[in-house]
Amino acid sequence: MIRTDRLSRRFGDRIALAPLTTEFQRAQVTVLLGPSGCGKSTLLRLVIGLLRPDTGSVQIDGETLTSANVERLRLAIGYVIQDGGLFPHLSARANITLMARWLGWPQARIDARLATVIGLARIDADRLDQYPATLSGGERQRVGIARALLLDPPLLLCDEPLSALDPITRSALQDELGELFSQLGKTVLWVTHDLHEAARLAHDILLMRSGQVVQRGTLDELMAHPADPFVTLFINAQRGQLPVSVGG
Amino acid sequence: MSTTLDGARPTPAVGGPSVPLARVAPASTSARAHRLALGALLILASLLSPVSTVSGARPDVPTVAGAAPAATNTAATTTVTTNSGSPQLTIGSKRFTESYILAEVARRAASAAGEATVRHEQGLGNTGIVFAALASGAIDVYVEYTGTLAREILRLPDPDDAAALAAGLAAGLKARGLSMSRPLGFNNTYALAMKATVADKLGIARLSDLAARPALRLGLTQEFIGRADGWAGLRRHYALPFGTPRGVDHGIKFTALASNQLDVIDVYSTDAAIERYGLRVLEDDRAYFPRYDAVLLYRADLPARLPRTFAALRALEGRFDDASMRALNARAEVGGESFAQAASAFTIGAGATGQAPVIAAAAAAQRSLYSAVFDADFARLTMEHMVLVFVSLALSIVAGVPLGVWCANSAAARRWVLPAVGLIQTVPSLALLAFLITFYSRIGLVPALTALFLYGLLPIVRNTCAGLEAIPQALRDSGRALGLPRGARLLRIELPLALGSILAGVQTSAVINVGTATIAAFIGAGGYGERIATGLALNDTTVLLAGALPAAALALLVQLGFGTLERWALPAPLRGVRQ
Repeated sequence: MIRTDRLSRRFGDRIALAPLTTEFQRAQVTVLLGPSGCGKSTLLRLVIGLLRPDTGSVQIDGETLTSANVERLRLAIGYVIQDGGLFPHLSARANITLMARWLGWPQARIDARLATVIGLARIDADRLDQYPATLSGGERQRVGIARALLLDPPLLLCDEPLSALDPITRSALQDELGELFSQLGKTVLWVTHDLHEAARLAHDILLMRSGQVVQRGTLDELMAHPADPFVTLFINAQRGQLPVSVGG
Repeated sequence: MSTTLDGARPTPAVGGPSVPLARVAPASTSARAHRLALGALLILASLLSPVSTVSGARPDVPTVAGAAPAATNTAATTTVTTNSGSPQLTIGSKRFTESYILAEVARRAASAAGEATVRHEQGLGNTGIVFAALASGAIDVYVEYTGTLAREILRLPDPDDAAALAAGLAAGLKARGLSMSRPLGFNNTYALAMKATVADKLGIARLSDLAARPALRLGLTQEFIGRADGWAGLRRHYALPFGTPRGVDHGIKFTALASNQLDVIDVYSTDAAIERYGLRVLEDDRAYFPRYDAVLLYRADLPARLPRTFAALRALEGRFDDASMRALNARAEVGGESFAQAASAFTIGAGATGQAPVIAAAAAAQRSLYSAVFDADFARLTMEHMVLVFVSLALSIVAGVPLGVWCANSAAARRWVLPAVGLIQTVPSLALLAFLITFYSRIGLVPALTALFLYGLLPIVRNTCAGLEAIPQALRDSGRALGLPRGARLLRIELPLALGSILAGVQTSAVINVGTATIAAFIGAGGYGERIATGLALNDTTVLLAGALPAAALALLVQLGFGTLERWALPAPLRGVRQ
């Protein structure tokens, strides 16, 4: 459902993303994996139009992203970032329902949808009137996810959403979100540098370095048939944390 | 007219058409306390105001504020005589006693002609503002001094002789559609003075006599020491044997002289204090000081437009001398009479000038500060001041917030708009008012509000821009990624996040405006500045404080009010967050 066609972007002399032509499949979790500065966040920001490409284009369900349609297309995309990206002047409730109120939904519909998404994101209703500053990191992230789910977008873009959380909370949320994505059938692009997280969530992995996709496949494929010494290097660096032992 | 007064002394006087900023009060404890309080207030005012208007250096550009008669006076700011259907004549004055009184004298003379409705716009401002008002047609006539005209207004080169000066003045005025009368007769210039008793004992009557008395102690105002036509030239001209004289404040030089701590001081030749302290003005026997002859400066069409009125005004030519002018000044400054009352002495005759004032002064001195603050005009001045502050503030917000938003979103706007509104702050308030009077061709509320509006812009524009720029990129991206259009992001996310900073800017503007609005009285827009101006003109600390204290109190109230507003308007997490 998402296609990129020779999509590229530079920052000054640095190539953030080399021309990339690819597709991301519907109802799959695709993890963009790689070290800092490899271009994974740049790709995500290009897909949602927060960055303009130097060359190439993005198509969402066959429609090419332009400045004219970007705001409409974003309504079909949920975007989650580190710490939730919550607005500090709005309560959790107001953060979650912001877009529904902006779109003029009737209050009953807003209330019903709010009940649904806080159930999905497992948010305690008592916490809805808190401002972000008085929520825990995990709570903030759940509110961010509930906000992204509010309009029930078919596509979710997640930019290292769990990296600021403590290991226990992070691990619990990884499991929960993995279940949630498959239950809802969302198409997900998930950015992380954490191999462990990729292993738990990904149907499909793009391993990136210096703006290039080094190898694409499942984790097993990457480990069994590394396309480049960098793949082995990257995997071995985090291998001790892997839940399963594969290859040798 | 047998107007004059006691034995005129044809002192070759000189002196800037200047105003003593502070009359010397008897050094009583309460006067000292007042003076201390005044000092504190002036410091406060200078802190509150972006453009310090508190300056003792230029007597012609007095301090904080506007016009209007003394609190003890009953004369209204605008005096209308004759029936209202007739043509109008508007007389202006600068903000010092002599100018107020002469304008009142002119008003009475012009009214008597019965040809026009005559108004006196009191204490419009300093030379620049009053001249601009005349040039723009906002007023028809005012009293100016030839030295000021030549040096400050027309900027003529030093003339060779009187005839060359007259020709230069006439040509310069004609080019501006203006004209001037012959001298009114007195010459308000700088002079040196001594206690008459000491001068008599030492046999000193002329400046040249000083050369033989190197032991005399000189105390001169810093302005006189610094002026091109001041001390340095005087010492050379008369080959005086003195070193660097002691610099003394205008306000204390008379008491210092009276208590024999000084022997010679500089004065303005028509200063009321000359009579009061029994001073001898030393004759400028080698004609060093330039002449500051008082003349009527008027629009060139006046003689044709109002011939009888004009003739009545010209009848004032040559009717004054230095001593008679000093006596009139003393009636207002020492005697506590209103300017109109003092002016009436001119036509009635001078016989009583010496005595009556002293009694009135005693009465005036007994007024308590409390009663001066809550005088009958308190409600009116408060209302005028609030209108000045809050109407201009509303305009500053309406223009400043969008400008700040523009700056936050455009590097080009940041490059031009911020320096532009910053530049406005550097324009002295009096210069800005003078410009605006010319721009609008009117005085009063409109130019005053415009000036306050312009001064109020910088804190609001800068804080709006800074508040918006301080929003983290991640939050901006979140708003965009949600699919909110630009306007909705601004209204629902960015401006609320920047609100603390914007409110802080508005608060700064409001507090600055409370202080700056006192200047509005300079151009007839009213407010507490009227009392400050009057207090300055009369050297009446009580009246001055009666204007300055409410202004300071209002500034504090505004400060507190914004604290409350912030608690009410800002969501809890954003309180106390300011750039």
